[in-house]
Amino acid sequence: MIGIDLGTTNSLVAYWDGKQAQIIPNVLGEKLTPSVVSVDDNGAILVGRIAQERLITHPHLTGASFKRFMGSEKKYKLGAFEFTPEEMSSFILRTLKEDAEAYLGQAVHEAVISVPAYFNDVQRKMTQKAAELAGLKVERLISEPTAAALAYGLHQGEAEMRFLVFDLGGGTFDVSILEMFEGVMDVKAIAGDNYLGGDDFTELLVAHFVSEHQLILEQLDDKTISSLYKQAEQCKRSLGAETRGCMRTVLEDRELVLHITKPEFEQLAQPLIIRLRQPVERALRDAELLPSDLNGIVMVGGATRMPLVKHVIGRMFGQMPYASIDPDESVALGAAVQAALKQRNQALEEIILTDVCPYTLGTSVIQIGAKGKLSDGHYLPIIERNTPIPVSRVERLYTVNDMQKVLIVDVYQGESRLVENNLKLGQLNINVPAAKAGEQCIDVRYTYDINGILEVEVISVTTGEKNRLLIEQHVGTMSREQIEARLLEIASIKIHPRDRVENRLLIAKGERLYEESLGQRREFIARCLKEFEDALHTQDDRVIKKVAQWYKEQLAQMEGWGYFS
Amino acid sequence: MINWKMLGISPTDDKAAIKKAYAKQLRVYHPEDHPEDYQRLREAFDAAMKQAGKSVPFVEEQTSPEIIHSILVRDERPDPERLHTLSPLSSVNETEVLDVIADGLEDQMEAGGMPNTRIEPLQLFWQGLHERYRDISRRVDPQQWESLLNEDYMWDMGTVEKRFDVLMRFLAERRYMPHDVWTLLDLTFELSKNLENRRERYDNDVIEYITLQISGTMEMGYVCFVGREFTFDIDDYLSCREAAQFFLMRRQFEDAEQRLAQANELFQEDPDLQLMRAKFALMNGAVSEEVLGILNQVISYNPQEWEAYLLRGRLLFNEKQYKEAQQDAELLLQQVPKSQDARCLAIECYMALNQLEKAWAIQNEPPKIYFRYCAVIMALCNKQIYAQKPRKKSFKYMLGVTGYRIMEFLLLLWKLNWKLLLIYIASGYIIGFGSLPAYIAAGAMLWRTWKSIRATYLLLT
Repeated sequence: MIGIDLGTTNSLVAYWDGKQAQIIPNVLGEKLTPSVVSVDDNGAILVGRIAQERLITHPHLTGASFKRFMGSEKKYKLGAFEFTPEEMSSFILRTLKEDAEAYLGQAVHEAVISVPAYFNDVQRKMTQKAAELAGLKVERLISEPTAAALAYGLHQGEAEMRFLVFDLGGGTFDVSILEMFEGVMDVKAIAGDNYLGGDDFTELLVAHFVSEHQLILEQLDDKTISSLYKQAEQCKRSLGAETRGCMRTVLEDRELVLHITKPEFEQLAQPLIIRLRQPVERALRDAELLPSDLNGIVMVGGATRMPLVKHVIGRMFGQMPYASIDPDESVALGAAVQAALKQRNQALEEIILTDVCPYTLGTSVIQIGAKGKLSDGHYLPIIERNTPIPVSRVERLYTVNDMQKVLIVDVYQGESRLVENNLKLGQLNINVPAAKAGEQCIDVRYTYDINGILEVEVISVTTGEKNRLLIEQHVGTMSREQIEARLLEIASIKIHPRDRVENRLLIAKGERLYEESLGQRREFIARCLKEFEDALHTQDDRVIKKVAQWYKEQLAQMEGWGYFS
Repeated sequence: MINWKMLGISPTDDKAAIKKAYAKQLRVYHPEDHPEDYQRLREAFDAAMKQAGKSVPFVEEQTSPEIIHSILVRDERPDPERLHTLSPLSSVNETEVLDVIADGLEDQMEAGGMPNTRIEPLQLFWQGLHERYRDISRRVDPQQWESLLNEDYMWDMGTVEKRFDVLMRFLAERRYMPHDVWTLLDLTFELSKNLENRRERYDNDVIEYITLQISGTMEMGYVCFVGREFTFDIDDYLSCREAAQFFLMRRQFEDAEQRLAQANELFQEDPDLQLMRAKFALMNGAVSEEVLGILNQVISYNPQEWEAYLLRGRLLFNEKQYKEAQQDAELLLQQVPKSQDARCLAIECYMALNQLEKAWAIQNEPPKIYFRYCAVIMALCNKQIYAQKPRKKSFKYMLGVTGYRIMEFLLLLWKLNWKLLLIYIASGYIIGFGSLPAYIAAGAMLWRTWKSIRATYLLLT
């Protein structure tokens, strides 16, 4: 069983080797596989680094950051194909699965997959569906901060401690507060923002560039936009280490440059930074803790590398000791630990993990106010947020009208007093014998399982009639057969063969550099590319290797130029 | 009742013992294998921990609701009259020690819960709020508020609840700020969400006022105050302005008139106020010149107040100054091409000036049914058709037209009344053709005919 961190920008796969969790490198020998999917000219799927390069050269054939749209109706058009976000995710999962199989030398069928703690029911179901499409059985969905805490807590020994996990990934922001005691890892509270992440900071820089040069983003072509995003990403990274960064792009044979200093960037990012506070406040409030009750802060997610974010954490918690874990790898490692726990691995028998549900779940009720006035649309919470899971709760509801024959139970998720502001997950109807108002009643049972997935059951108290619902909204538009058919279809789409991945990547990289540069440099890159392609045509492994080595060096040099010229 | 049996120990207040017992039982009732037993174990554990931890200060802070100081007295329904007669706060508050908050803290300090350092950030926040509020140029600038919300003391996680109290205390005094600032506050403090859950903690009137401001239904401009010096308290003026808007929306004209006059005495160069005055004057049938004067003022203060142009154009049109009205209408069409009101006005102006070609050129499909627009378009079509008629009217032609008209009229009569006739005949067969049913039928037919003719007439003119 493997553990997978399916991230917005990067994905990783890890396994438990009997003593500890380890990251499995991909075919290029790298630990991080970019969560980007592209289609090549032959209709084969390219995943990871190659696809990332093609984001700039073939933007209309490439998709990225699809995790942000998990559970939405968004469609990705890649050439002749059209994919949903979960189908895009399934290609990533399939690649990771193949990497793991190649590395471990055995078939892999089960996995623990991490999701943002603040993912809602629909988004979790979609993640499961993505795994199903990739031919993986999901043994457990684990919350990302919980996974990170698991990887971290494992090395802390028996000590009793409380800590806060601050997880700012590419597209999502999660805060979790955990307590460890006597071999129990207890999640006390979860809060977060599903639409805040490192990508937002990149977008900020892109928007700044566009407005400074008086361009209109909608009017730029796909290629310029994706190269702008790459430049912004680089600029963001360099602002982490240096006091100034720069972005450049080629537009209509004109080179546009923008320099930005650290204080300017901080000013720009202020609205995003302020948004980091509310989830932390809410998590502390729900856990009924003060910052002084915490023993440490664990930072997870690539975006916590930004000094700006580190500074914010410092302001919130003062000189709190930080945990030294790799912000990129810990989630995958934690997922692998969870996989081992699930299998009751001997070395891990000691630890038990208990999690909570991130949202309040409830139903819509009619309230009888003063003078018998009825008003509908009120929210009746059945499972409050941050209740330990698995959990099952019952609430009894009564009829409000005389001779009422049907009771409709709406299933909602959210925190608002009025259901109209909450997310509707589904609906159940149940028949009751006609009688006077208030005489007939039903029991509504909400069961939240350990994967964070909800099941609702309603029982008519007098007749004993039952009705149950495993919330499967949004999937509902397809019949079971259609889903099966789509499954076969997706499985038949070839992912680019593993053995030629590296050469493919080199070409993709060359093509990207070619498009990014001008004049002499451009010609030089074209020559290098030609040389390399010629070598590939010889189909002589020795020649290819030699030329590839030389070509790689040239490209590395080229890439460096961007920063100095 | 705590299920000590589930925990496998005898009742105790010792947290460590409870945790230990829980950890031990957890291995028996593993959440993975025994979800239902786990739930019971967990409930027992939480209850036991809660009881053992009753003396912990932070729990108390969470559960004891205290009504924060408020200038408003609790009442069943908010009474706008009373709210608006309250004098706005003076500047004394800014340096005032936060008595309520400090009061709350003293108890906790005695209990050793909250150290002295906790008060300082709150005091700074309180001051920061007032500093920005005091200076009208800073008050209307959302960036000023953004910088406040990003100050170091705002990041202190130990005073979250109290900070919210401070903010509520500040907002309880009816604040007048641009909608952007309200939105920002709502975003950072999740005001609407948090207030919903704390209705018992704060005054209901205050909550309603804040919700109203966030919703933006009372949005008014603040740009005109930037960079000015005032000899009076600007909040006096703003409260008058807001009250006037409130009364005007409810059509309580006497109250509105009083507030408008008060506000106008204090300050005149506010386009929003002048626009309200113009509307008020219009609704009360004032002389056109007076309204026009006010509208001209509005436009001179804010050349982008399109509503004023529309009112002025309409007014000029009614005064038969078509040329001037047409200018306003053309400007509006350029600036707000989606406005059907503007389009209507333009078409009517062109029609009045007999420029049918132009009128025809700007008509388009209305996005939704809009009565006045339909009427105007019908009128336009008629004019267009008559305009194309041959000038020479021969007797034969006239006869033809008249014949056609008469035919049309008869057809209309038939169409309107055939059902009634049918009923009359049918009932005649059953109860006999008396004179009374005939009168009734004729009366009904006449009434229907008259109604439809009147409707057509209204539509066409």
